[in-house]
Amino acid sequence: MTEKDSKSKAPEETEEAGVPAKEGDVSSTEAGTVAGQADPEATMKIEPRPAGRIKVKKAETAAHHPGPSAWRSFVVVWKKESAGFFYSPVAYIILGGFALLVAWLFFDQFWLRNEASVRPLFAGMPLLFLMITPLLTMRSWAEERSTGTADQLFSLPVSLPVLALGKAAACLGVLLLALVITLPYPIMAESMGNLDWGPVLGGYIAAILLGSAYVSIGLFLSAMTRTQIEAAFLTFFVAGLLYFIGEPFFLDRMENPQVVLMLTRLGLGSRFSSIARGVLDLRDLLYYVSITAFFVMLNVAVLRHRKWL
Amino acid sequence: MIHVENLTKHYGSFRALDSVHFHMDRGEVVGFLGPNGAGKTTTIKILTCNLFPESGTVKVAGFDVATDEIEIQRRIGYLAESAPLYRDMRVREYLKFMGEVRGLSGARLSEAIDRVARQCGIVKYLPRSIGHLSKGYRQRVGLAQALIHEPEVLILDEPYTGLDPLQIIEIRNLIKDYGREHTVLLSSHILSEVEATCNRVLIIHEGRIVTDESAALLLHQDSVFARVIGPDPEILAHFEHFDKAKLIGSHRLGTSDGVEVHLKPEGCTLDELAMAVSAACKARDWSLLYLGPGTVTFEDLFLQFTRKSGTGA
Repeated sequence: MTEKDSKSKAPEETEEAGVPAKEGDVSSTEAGTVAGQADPEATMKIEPRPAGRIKVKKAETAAHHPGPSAWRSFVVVWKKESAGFFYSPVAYIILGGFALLVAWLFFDQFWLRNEASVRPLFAGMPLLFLMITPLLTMRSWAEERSTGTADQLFSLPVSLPVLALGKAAACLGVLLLALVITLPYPIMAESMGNLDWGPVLGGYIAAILLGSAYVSIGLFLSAMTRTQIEAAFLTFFVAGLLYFIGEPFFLDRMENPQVVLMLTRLGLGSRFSSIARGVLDLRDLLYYVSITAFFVMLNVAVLRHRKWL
Repeated sequence: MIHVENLTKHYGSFRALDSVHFHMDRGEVVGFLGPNGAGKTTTIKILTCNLFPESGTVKVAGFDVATDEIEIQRRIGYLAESAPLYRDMRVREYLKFMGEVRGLSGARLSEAIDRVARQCGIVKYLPRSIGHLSKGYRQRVGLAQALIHEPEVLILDEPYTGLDPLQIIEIRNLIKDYGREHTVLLSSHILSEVEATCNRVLIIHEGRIVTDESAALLLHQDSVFARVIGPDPEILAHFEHFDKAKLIGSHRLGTSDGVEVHLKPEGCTLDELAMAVSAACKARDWSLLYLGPGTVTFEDLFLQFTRKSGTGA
């Protein structure tokens, strides 16, 4: 991306081949090195000929477009999207509901089990995430489209992949926050007995991976639909389907062992449990990363395709 | 600054733009006029890289929309139709986001926010939530975000909707000032606004540019306006082929109220034309209720130019 940026800077010099444009460019690169603070004085020092009033003005405006790096744009979009969750009560309600369910999962039979373990907590995570992720991702693109802010957004100098990743990161951030809410439970279990931290760490990693996959599916479907409700339901169904095809209650009805094996490998949940047991297999990691990447790319493709309509 | 050549775009089988061609230089404020569905917004969406052109060349600030999207987007300020904003955000936060996304930060960003807030008269509203603002103020916030990075090219889709007359005057002056050093394209269907703001007018109809002229030339046409009572079809037919003038607008008011005709002299003075109209009415025993200088309305202009290209439409 940054490479592309610096490359596409070149036509600027040739396009507006004239002394003022060149000056503008010099100052903009200068501005970049002096941490964005372009100093018009410095520009004038570089320029041997006396710069007229208009020339200085031009140099200033050019310095206004240092062109933020892709990373910087990503951070800006991520910040804006994250803040968006907390303007309305939605995120608080989702996180509150999540906290309640987690508490129930944890304390249900906790005293009966009589062991320091948080296994039921992570066993329930795929379903909990399946419930809250559609609510997080539903508005991302659908709302931009229905309120018309999409027109404004797509006119900004941010590439579609950066926009999509920024939105994904913001949704994932809320899921991370949800996981932070669960942190007291392993700590509590630790204080009561000898907790094996391996599966706990595995559980968190698995939850983040699964969360990314859900988020990317949700965002893609939010880009496909016009209303938030449609987006939420579709996400629930599609992500749910991908999850359930790998689950025992579904596979138990299957006879063909090859099909069972294939579906287990495809299912979003089966790999989750193996990571949550503390077994970190590179293939499982790759599986989640590629599902996420696939849907993010689909998301970008949909947005790009819409520009051709 | 903006160069559009042979731009064509279909929505399905509907031809939204048909070989659109125009050019704009720095220091020009151009008004883009046309009825709803004429292709104004489609053209604007292509210029802002929201849509890709189907065929033709579109260059903004020296860059081609087909290859240098981001470079163009860096150099334009855009206010979309009916100023869509994030209603949950506060004005300052919104302007901050729009500034940051365009590469402003630190002191430069806060200066820019203060500057546009002053220019657009929203200083008091910076801490307010956008959702609580009236339509006019939201429009101003929309304009403020478009100006925050001092873009070379400013593109405004219907900037005057929802503004009261006082606000219109303020915003008009702001746009005119900005247009002195930069390039401004604004769309509207209010002729008087375009006239007051722009030095040039493009009229678009059914996806075609039907006229591209200076605003002064378009509006200060010498013409004669008359209201005549009599048999409507005959009156219309008569003035349609009036030998001293061209009919640039007509309107049937109903059975007893007569016909309004708007005539442009051809090869004679205004006075001569007025006399001729009067004489024509007298000769045919039509009553002439009003005869005076014509005022051009958008409808008239529009009729005039769509008729010019009438055969193709």
